[in-house]
Amino acid sequence: MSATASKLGAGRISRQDLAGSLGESLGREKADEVVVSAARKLGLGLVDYDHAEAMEILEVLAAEPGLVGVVARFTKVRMILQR
Amino acid sequence: METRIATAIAEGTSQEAVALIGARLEDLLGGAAPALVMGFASTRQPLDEVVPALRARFPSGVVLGASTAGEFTETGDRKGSVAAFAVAGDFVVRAGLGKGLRANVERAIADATRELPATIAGYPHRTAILLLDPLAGCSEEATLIAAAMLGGDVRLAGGAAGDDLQMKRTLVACDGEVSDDAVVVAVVFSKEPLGVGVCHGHKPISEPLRVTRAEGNVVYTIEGRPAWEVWSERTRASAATIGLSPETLSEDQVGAYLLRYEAGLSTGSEYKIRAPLSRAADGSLEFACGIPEGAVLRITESVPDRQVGSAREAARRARAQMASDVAGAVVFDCICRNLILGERFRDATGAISAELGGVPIAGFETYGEIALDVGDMSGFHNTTTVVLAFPR
Repeated sequence: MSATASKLGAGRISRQDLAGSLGESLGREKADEVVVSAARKLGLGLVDYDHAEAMEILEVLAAEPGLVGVVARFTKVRMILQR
Repeated sequence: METRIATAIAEGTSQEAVALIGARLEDLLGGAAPALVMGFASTRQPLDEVVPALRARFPSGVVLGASTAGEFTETGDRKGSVAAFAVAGDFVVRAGLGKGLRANVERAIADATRELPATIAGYPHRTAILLLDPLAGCSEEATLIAAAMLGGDVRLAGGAAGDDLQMKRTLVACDGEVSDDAVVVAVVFSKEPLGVGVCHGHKPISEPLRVTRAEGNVVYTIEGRPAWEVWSERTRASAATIGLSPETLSEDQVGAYLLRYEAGLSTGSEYKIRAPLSRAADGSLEFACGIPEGAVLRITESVPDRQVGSAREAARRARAQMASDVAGAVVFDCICRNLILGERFRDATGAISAELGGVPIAGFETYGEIALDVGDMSGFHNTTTVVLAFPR
C-alpha cells in the first residue's frame, strides 16, 4: 500500500495527503490544483478535512470529465474501503 | 498439487509457430492440463490466428493473448515471433473481454468482468491480469476502474498490447475473441498469493513543464507551445549523445524516439512515467492514457544500467510478496526498455529469471504496464518491468 493511501483512513486528512492520493495518477501539482479548486467551491478551508469533507471534495471532482473524474471516483472507493 | 510452468518461443507462420510452441508446452507440462495459457504474438503472426489455435490445442485452460512489440522467454528475446506461457496447478482462472474501450471505458470493463465470480471456495487469493489496447487512450482509467470493480483485495498485473512500433492497431484476446479497442480482465484464484513487482529506471532531464492545452490523452501545448516543439528542444542534447536528432527523424522513427524520452509526473519523491505514443501534424502528442490540462511533467530519459537494475528490483519485489518459492513468471516489459538496452535487453530478462531462482519466464514488450497492489492509488505505468510470479 502506498504511504499516501494509508493516510486516507485516518481521522483528519490533510490537503497534502488528499492531493497525494490523486497525485499518483494526475501528478502532484495538478492534484493539488483540483483539490484547492473543489475545496473553494464548497467553501472549505485549505488545510485539512474530516472524512465527510474529504468525500465532498472527491464527489465534486468525481463529476469532472476524463482522468480527473475517474481518479476521484477510484479514490472515493479506496477511502470507503479503508475505514 | 505442484505448479508446473512451461514457456516457449517460436518464429514462422502462425501455424508453424503454434505447432512448435504447442508441442514444447505439452512436453514441459508433462501431461498436466494448464489452467492458463498466454500467447504473445508479433504482427507477423496475427493474433486472430494464434489464439484460436492455442485454444484448440489447450481446451482445458483459459487462453489469453496480446499483440506485441517484441517477445521473450528466459532463453532470450526476439522480434517477429510468438512467445507463450502456460501454468498448471492449484489455480482457477476466469476471464472476460470488453469492447468499445475508447467510447466508454466503464462499460468495457463492466462487460469484461460481468461473468467473473467474486470467490471460489478453497482458493482464497485473487490476482487479476489486465491486457488492453493502449491506442484507445484510456489505460490508467481502465486500470483504476477495473481495480474498483474487482474489489480492494485484488492485486493487478498486466500489459498494454503492442504492434511492433507501428502504432496502428493493438489487439488483445480472450479465448475465442480477438479485438482492438478492447480490454481483457482475468482473475487467477489461488491457494497461495501470487507476487506482483514493478520498477522503472528513468530520471528527469528537463525542468518542470506545464501542460497548457490537453484533451483526453492528447497533449496539444506545453508552456503555450506545440508539445512536439518543446519535446524536441528539451531532448536534443541527450539525443545527440546517441546519434539521434529530433529534426531528422522519419515518421517511422518518431514513435521509438518518443518512447526513449517519456513524461514523468511528480508523485512526491518519485516520478510516474507516461509514454507519448505518436506525434500529429499539428505538433500534438498522443499518450497511452489521459493527461489532464494543467498537469506538470518533466521529460525523462534512462540509461542502460538503470534498466537492468530496475528489472531485477521488480523481480525482487514480486518474490517478496510470496509465501513460497517461485515456479515461474509472466513479465510485462516496456518496449522502450528494449530500445534503450539493445543487445543488453537479454541481461535484463536474465536478471529477472535469476532473481526469481532461475525459473522459466515469458512475456512481451508492451506499450504500457499494469501493476496495482492493494491500497495503491495508481496502476498504469510506462517504461517499467512488471513481474507476475506464480508460487511453486
